[in-house]
Amino acid sequence: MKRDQSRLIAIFLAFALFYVAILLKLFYWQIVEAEGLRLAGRSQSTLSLVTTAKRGDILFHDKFPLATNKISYLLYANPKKVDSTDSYSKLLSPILQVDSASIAARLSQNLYWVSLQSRLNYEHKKEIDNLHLGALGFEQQTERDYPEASMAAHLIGFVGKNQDGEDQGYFGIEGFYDRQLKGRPGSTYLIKDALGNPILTDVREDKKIDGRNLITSIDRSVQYMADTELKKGLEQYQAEGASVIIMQTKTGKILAASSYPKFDPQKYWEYDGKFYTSPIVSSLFEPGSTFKVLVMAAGIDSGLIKPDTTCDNCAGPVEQDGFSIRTWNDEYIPNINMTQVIQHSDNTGMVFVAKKLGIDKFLSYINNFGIGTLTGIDIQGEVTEKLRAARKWKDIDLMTASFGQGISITPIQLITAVNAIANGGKLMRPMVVDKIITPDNQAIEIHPQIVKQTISSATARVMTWMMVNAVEKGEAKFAKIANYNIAGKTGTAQIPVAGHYDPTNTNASFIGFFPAEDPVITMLVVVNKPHSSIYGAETAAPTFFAIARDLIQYYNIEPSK
Amino acid sequence: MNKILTIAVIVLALSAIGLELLNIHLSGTLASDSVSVKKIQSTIASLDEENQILNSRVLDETSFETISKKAGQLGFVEDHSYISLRSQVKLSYRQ
Repeated sequence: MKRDQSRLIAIFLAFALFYVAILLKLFYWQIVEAEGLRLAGRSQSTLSLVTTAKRGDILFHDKFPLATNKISYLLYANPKKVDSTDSYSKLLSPILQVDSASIAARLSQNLYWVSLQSRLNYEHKKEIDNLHLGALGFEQQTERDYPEASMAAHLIGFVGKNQDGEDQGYFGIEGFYDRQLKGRPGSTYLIKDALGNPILTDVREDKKIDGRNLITSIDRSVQYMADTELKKGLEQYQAEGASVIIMQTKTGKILAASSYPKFDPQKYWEYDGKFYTSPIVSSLFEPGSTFKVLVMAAGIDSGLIKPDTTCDNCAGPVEQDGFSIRTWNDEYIPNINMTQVIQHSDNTGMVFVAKKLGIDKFLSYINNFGIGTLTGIDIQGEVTEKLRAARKWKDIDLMTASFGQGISITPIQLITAVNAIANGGKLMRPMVVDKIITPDNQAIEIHPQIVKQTISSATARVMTWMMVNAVEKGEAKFAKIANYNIAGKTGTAQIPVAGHYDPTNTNASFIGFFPAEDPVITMLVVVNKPHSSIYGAETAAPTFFAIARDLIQYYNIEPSK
Repeated sequence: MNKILTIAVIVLALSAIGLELLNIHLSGTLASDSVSVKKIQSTIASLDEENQILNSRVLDETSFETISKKAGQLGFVEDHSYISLRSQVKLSYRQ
């Protein structure tokens, strides 16, 4: 009996051990190895497809693409299947425009897959297809396409790769709106049969979210006109560079912006990195006389001077801290009034205004005009130079700053500030993107934004007519457009180089807006280091008026008189 | 009683076989439908590809860069004369 009991216990223990072993094994498979097995099972039975999100388009105001996507092809080969390296390389060489030795070298590698060329277009693909070379294959790729080539390169930026090999926008709109444009990739999981065909019983999908489209305020025709005239000006005045910005006065919307030298965003890697940044937002320059209108506006708005106030230090050069401040042509008009100071671009007259203002009021107004702070334009790469605290300014600094030397700003800061004069004193945030269109076609409008009231509307009107007078009677009067009141100001600024000013080169500029009665367009032209003439009146001004002429026709602006 | 049980077992067995055959048939149909769907998907993909290529070509052909180049080749030049809204504007003319 006892023996039977022992046997039963032994059998029970054996079974118990057996079940414990099973439990342990189950624990091992289901808990310890669960994740690995789940993945292994999924890879054997499911097909996982990553669907890349389509990068959003950047569109002109007329919805023609500034940047869109196009298909290109990666050509690859399986060297193991290449029967004659020589014939393959000879046939491919003229199509790929690569020497046959390089192709032969790649095809001779002991590999199953080698890339021969990426970014092939459809025509080249067809040509290669027609060769019927069995060891070749194509992989479809999507690449960024810029149909208007480099017309607005600095505004757009480009799409490159980040360190994970993913597409990423750099500079311009591509950089600023990268998160909106790129969207989110999706995944589709399908159950597959033994042959790899999908079975429709179980489809799971993480839906991709395509990038959003951006509609900009850039007018294609205006951009083309501005770009063409700027290029002409650059060549005519043998300048090293040039920029133009055209802004809608009432809204601060950028209608066109172009800079030279430029790069081709389609082939950005062929250009030096210094060409990528947009000079309109990233290049600091001393504005010279175009800055005078801001200082004069400050003087008038503070009630310290009037257009007919006469200058009591304009009979000759002004001596300060061992420096002699002279006029640009070394001619002096005693008792010149403020309207004439702007007309003749008189530096000594601006010193008079600066003295009246004093450093605190000067800085307060300049700050109000947005100098020293980022404008907030929706383009990547904007920079600014912070204004020094009042205590760090010497008298000579204030005096030179009054005529735009010794103070550095970007072209976008200058046009935004002067646009405030054109817009009744209202400082607008400059903007490029008008609307964001979501993948489900919802439009998110971006409204113009008034940053602040910089000067009174009365001061703005007075300044406008002082600037009209400068165009009518000033240095650039030969270039003006008959029958139209255009408010403007020339600028010829010396360029600081290693602690002193470059004796031969200048930055020439012209800023203005029209029609003066009710401005709709504000425009800035900057010509860097022109060689045919160093003066803004002889370089930037003619370019300004050439573009203005086109704009008057394009927008059907009625004559003033 | 036994007879009823026997019939029930036979009916159940036949039903099981029938349902299994139906299952195999439906799975087969589903698989062949999947193949058709795959073909349709690849046709859609190739049409989409063609569509995108054509769209790119249209954009290239209608860009101002191309139009101005072609206009130049055809002998059209820009009119640089003074523009007045009171007289007819010549946008361009052929040399």
